[in-house]
Amino acid sequence: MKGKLLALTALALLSAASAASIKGADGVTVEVTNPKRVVALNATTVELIYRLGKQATIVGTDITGTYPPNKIPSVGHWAQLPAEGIIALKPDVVIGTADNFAMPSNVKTVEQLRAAGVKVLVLPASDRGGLDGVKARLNMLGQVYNVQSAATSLSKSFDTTMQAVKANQPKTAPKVVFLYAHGPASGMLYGTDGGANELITLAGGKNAATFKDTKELTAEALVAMNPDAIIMLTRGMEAVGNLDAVLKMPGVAQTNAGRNRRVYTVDDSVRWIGPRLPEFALKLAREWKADFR
Amino acid sequence: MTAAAAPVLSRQRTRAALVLLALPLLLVGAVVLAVGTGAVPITPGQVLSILLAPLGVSPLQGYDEQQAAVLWAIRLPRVALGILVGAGLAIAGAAMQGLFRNPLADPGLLGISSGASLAAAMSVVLGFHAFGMYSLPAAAFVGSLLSTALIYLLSQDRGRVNVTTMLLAGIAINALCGAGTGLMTFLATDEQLRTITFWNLGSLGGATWPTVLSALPLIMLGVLVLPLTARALNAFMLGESGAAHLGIPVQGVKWLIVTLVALSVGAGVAVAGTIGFVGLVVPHLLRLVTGPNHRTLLPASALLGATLLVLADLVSRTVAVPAEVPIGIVTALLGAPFFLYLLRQGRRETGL
Repeated sequence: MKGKLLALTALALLSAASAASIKGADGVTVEVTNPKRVVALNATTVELIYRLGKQATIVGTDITGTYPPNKIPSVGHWAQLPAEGIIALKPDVVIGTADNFAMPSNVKTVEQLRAAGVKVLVLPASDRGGLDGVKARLNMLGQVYNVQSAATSLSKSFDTTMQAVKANQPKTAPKVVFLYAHGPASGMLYGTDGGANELITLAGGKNAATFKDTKELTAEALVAMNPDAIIMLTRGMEAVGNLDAVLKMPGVAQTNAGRNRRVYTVDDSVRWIGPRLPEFALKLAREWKADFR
Repeated sequence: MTAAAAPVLSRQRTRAALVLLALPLLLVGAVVLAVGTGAVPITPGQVLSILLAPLGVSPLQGYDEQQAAVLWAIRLPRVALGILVGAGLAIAGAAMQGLFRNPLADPGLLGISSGASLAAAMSVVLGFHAFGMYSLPAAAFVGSLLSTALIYLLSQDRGRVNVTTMLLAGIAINALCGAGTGLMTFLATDEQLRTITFWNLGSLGGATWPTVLSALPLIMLGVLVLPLTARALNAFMLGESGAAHLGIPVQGVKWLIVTLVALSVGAGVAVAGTIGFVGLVVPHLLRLVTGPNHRTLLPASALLGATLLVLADLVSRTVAVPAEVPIGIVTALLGAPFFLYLLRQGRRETGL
């Protein structure tokens, strides 16, 4: 009898230990206990959960949740999340980032989800805050799954990689533009607030685009910026064709980057700042150190 | 009236009576189907149990809390919004076609959609947040009223409203608003662009009871009052002077119709985005069946518009579960080919 009672107490203590109440970026506190079914919205949330080894809990994502390659069902576009579609996946908790939930078309979705009794945990924005932001989100996810030590050691591994990045940065910072190309004739340049700028700075470059947000690529503006290097997404490179096709894009051939064929590609997921930011930065830093010394 | 026309007319009367009897049943059927179908499965028995629960009726069939929450908080307001917006768009379309004596007229001609789009895009890009999450719908509503008022003022000619000028002014203002929206999309960031695009494709996904209640009075005003203009619209078929000779206060009726259309469509566009096709096609479709009498056409349009939008929304939220397809795409994809088919059939039958 006594043993049974002890076992029960121990069980209660155990489950109490794994229950966590986490305050979301929107100020709403969410109670989670070992979630088994999670709808993870935004590429970086999915990727962070994978890093914590809890990918088996993800039952749904949005169209951005494609890395690491998976067969998780998508609830659709990140800018228009369907409340009922998400509820139908019977999630214990819905986890997404503040930037995506702030989309006007999604504000109501969060309201509807909560009205239907679904827990929604809002992580800090994934397009701002750089590596510290990634760590903050990682830490919150560590609490959700009660794997704080894994989260901490991952954070430390970021720092290790960042030290390697510092050691590999080029001595003179190249002027860089981040070109989000949709096809051979059009693209957007990424300004000073967001993941692209973060990546350029971490890798030891200087963003040649000095505006905020994004601007349409125009030949003259690009020539005026005269970047030494151009970063593109792999998807963008594919959309344009190949390096030779990139050199034919408006203004590219007339820049230092174009003349010296200095075009670098990074994985598509860099747009939302995620756990691979240090790796991307290291890759670029090494390439730039070799090319610019 | 020629001898040959008489049987046609009586046949149309019988058909009209049948249609007015059948359409409410069709709407009820669509609502029952739409309420019981969706990403979260709820059986008809459970629907009934959940709906009767507040009255203290013991459940006929067991259900869980979440199903009840989905039904009350998400699905019912969504179906209700579909009924409202569909009815408003279709009856406004019927009234516009009558007013312009042109089956190709639709509320969009008055600049309602384009004005709303421009204002919505401006609110997104220039960051208008005065009404919190209702800023975009509020801007859209004001935009639709402003462009309608502008077109209406432009078509005033010495105190009279010239319908032809209104049509031309509508085309010009639509082009101007289109350019303005283009400028806004050009200035928009990637995220803002998504918002504008999705708004322009329309969706009932944001339906909550407050949204339904905000649109209800304005749309119901149109749905209930526009049928009262049926006699005047019938007389308009004789031309404006003909209508005036029949004792119709032509200017007043024009003013009333334009105002009601602007209010009800503007409210619909504000809460659901631009949903094309319903306002144009529903009355046209009914005219092929019941003939051009506005006494039948106006209420029948409201009923059929509501039915079709409820069904279109059902398709939009179930065809790609757990994702959703914007409803504007569904109305156009399903409606346009069907419309073309009907057009070919109807032509053969009525010699249109």
